Amino acid sequence: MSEFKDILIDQTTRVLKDYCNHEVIEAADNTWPDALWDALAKIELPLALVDPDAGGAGADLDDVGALIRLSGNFAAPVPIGDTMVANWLWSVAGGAPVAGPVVIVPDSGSICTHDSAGRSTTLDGTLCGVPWGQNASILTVAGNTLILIPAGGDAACEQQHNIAGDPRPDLTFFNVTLDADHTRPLPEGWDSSTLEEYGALIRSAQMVGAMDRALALAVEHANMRNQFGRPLAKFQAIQQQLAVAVEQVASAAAALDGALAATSNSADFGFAVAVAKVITGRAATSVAAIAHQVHGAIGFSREYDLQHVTRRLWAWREEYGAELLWQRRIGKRVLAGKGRIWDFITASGEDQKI
Amino acid sequence: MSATITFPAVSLPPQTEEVRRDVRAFLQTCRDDGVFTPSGNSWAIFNAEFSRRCGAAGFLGMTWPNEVGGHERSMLERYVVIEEMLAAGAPVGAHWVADRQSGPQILRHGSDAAKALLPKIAAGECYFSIGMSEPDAGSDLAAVRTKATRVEGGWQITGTKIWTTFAHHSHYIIVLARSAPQTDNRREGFTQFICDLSAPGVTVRPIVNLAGTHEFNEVVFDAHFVSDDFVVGAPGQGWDLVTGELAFERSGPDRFLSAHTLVEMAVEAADDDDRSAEIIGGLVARLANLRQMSVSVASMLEAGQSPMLEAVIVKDLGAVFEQEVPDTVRSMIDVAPQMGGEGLAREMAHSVLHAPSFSIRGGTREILRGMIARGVGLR
Repeated sequence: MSEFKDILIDQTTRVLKDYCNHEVIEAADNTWPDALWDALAKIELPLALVDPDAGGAGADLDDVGALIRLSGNFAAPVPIGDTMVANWLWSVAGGAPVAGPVVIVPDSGSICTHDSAGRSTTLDGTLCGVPWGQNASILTVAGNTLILIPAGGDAACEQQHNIAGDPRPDLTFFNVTLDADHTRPLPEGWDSSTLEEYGALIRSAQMVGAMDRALALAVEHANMRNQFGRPLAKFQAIQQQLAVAVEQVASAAAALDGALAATSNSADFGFAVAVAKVITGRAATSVAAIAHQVHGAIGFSREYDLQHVTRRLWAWREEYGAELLWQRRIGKRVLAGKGRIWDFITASGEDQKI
Repeated sequence: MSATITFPAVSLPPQTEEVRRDVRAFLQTCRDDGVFTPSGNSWAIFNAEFSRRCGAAGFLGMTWPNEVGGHERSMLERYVVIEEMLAAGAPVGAHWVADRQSGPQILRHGSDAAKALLPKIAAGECYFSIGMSEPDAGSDLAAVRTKATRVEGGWQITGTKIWTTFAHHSHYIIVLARSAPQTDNRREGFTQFICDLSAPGVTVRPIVNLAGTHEFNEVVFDAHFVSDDFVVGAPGQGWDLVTGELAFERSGPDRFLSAHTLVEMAVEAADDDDRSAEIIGGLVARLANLRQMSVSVASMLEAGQSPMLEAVIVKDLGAVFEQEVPDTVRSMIDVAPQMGGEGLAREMAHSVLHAPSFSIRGGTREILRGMIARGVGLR
């Protein structure tokens, strides 16, 4: 682990400990947590992944993956992972990074028309379930064009929430025109699923972080709580369940690390991300269930912190493609290839493109 | 403390791809020559001809020094060889135990006389069995009662081992025996002995498994003599040696590829529709994930670490996966299992009938999960 990564983790942990407590998370469903976001912005996380030449900190995807995982661990009710990645992607395409929150909507083709000279883009229609859509800029793709829709003002917002209570409003645009500063040609090697893959990678990292927390809370509870004159941790029935949770978190963390290690411009990146989203989604279901079972009634209460991470696990496993979508993509590729699945699993590069 | 166990992502070095091509070509030749037809659970299939060919091709004792018949390759190169063989359903059972654990133990802890067996193991001509379980010592290995008594020039072994795979074919068995009276620490006083299965004082009786196959045996030792130079390690070191080897035994691709032949056949037979794609995609994602974790453990072993807990996690997750394969396939295609013959129906029968053993051999699920719980601070 690099020293730079240690510093980033240390700084981010301190900010989250100070600004992402129970009350902040509970209030965030209808109030943008200004203090938390400002503290994250102050340590320059929104530009962490952006190249230093473009004004960023030049962290790599592995560093930032650790920070996103941390944000999941604290159930942070802000799109900090989304922003770090979206700003980087936008800057790679030649755009100027944004200081405020940025989120990803993989495809807006159905509401976008580009003028024939390629100088402007008009938005007309509704984007559903946009993360923090009333506060964030939106990075999206329509056809071969990458678009950054600026935050605020130009859309009618109908508030919706995911089951964690995080804002996922529907935004309706009425003939909103964006100039050429807000569009870029899709960079070499990207395609219509690139943004969705990064979205899935972000949610996978958040889920691993949330699972780290759910497991740690369950282990701590099992060691502290006494029944029948001894800690729950002494009961084999409890040990066996928590061992399964440990295995699930470990497998999810391994899948995440595999995706973070995959070269982002390599053809097999999509497969690594698909594996990560499938494995973290499956693990999320299992770990949330076990953590609740081990906690008994206390875990079902609003005032106890477990629900902050388990409700997010249930929400995040659906976002940017549930397990089924990514499984279908992998499976279709394998069926189309006609070869052994073993050859596909052991391949790399173009031979493992989904 | 954090309860999350880490498996750093490792990419296989480029030279392993050369090895992979070599193994695939070798396996193709073996199939063309009629040496084997692919089958699941193939590390429980005994085929001496295949093992001799593996030896001649340099695929056994791969990481051992040249002077004992080895090939001084890396653990990751060996990893690629065994994953390719298992994925191809090749019958590695004859040499499996000798190559995976007996040989490495002898290399590290054996006398010169014992090391003289290594070239034969590497040639695919000398096979070993594992002598741990007993009628009253299964998961509770410290209950082993087979007794080793000091005699002139060596030890006399008396007792019974059970569930001993291929004792009726193997040349040797490494027996864990009590060589000193039990103390407060039940794990003290054990020693491992290399016993010649053809020698006087050893009786091998068959135990047929539920699939109707003879793999298991009961092995009875009646005052069987073992000379001092066939003791593995020092007397009293038995427990440490046995547990030290478990990371090697538990994390390999054999722990999630037992039903792989069925997976490949099912994919070939599947309809080209969304539902099949979703099920196949799930299998591929889990396999890729398990393989990545298993490669990560191989890389830790290569680096001289002792990833006990990591190996246990791979084994338990792998056993759950390979046990679920038959039912996953049943949810995708309609196939009635059939005994005998070849193809999907036979493979389904084989996998259904062998699946119960996947979470028992090499440490039961309950024991493994107990170790994991202890490893993260429960108990």
